[in-house]
Amino acid sequence: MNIYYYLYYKLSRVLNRKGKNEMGVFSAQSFLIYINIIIIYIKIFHVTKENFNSGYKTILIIIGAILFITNSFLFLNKKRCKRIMNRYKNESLKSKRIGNVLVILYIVLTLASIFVA
Amino acid sequence: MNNPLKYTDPTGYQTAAAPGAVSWLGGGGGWGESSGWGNVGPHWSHYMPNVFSDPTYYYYDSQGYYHKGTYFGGDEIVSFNQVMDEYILPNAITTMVFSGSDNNHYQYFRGLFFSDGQRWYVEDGLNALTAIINGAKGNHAFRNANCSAGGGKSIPSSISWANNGASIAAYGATVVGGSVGFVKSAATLRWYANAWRGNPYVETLDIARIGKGLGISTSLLGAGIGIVNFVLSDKSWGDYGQLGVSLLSAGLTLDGITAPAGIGLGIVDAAGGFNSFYNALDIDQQLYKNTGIIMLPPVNGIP
Repeated sequence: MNIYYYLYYKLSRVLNRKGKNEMGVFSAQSFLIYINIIIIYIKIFHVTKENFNSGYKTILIIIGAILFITNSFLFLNKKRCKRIMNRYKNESLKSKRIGNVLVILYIVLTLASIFVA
Repeated sequence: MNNPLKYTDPTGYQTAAAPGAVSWLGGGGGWGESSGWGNVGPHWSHYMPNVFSDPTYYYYDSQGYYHKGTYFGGDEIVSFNQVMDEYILPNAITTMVFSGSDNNHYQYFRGLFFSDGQRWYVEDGLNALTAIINGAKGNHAFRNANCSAGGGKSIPSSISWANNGASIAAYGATVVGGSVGFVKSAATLRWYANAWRGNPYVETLDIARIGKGLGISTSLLGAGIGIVNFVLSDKSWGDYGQLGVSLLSAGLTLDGITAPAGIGLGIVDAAGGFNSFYNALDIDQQLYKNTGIIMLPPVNGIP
């Protein structure tokens, strides 16, 4: 199982039910991962209020831009998206429930990390 | 005690600086700097103060109180207004160099503080010039919120403005719509009124789609920077407000229908449109800390 694609599948089920909001799905995925990167980045490089503007901010924006651009190339490819959706749409009920719990947990922990970092 | 022209303390009886803040004002008219006159604990003087002509000095202690002392032994807790009235304004102090390092709790006092007559600014050698009255966060921000009226949060950085520019360009692209394609035979870029991508002669790109993608990505990148600011902040009520607006903007942007509202919210926020709201939250927090009272916004003009 490809976790990255599975997350995309789960987000698609929520944000793109009508099939007209592909951008919203990969943007949401990019944003969640971007939050993870931000928290790790701050911790690893000991970013503080004082040094954030001295280059760290620009690097972080470049990382974010690369993430969004990469994901846009990855998930605006309709063939790939269709393949992902077909791969997971027949998952069992048990697998579906576990997947939902794990994805919700991931989102909650990601948002919580903002407050506890 | 509470001079509304230069003081925003809603209770009028605030005597404490922000907790953990320690800095001294030398009696001779200068704020301390570590490289100058002898080290006297957590505070320094840039030059030898004239002890005999003006033996008074002011400082903040680690409990967050303002003190007025003399070199002959006197010491009393005073309000910041008193510091303003007796020291900063009469001496026309417009430049203050604080001491401190990255690794201790005096770090908020590093750098050059100065006034242009209307606002206080800080330049700490790392950050861009920032207006700090009334708005900025941290210990010095609270202190300087008392210095003069008016002002706002930090001046939007160049990145914020770049973000705004990209968002506006994105919005423009969605309004213009149509599609654009490069005609190889004529080596020209051509605009088409429809967004049809099946043109047999040129490979076209949907302008509105590009604009939407640009708008969403810049909005989310802006929200990411908002999250960083929150994580690095002292997590005041204003910081929570700012984070809430950032996340709301990001959340709205992710849905196809509400994306324009999310992008617009991000633009307004980056341009400082919500600064007065954040400032009001910060002031409410100070009021709550001092009095235990929460000020609710007026409803239908009734305060």
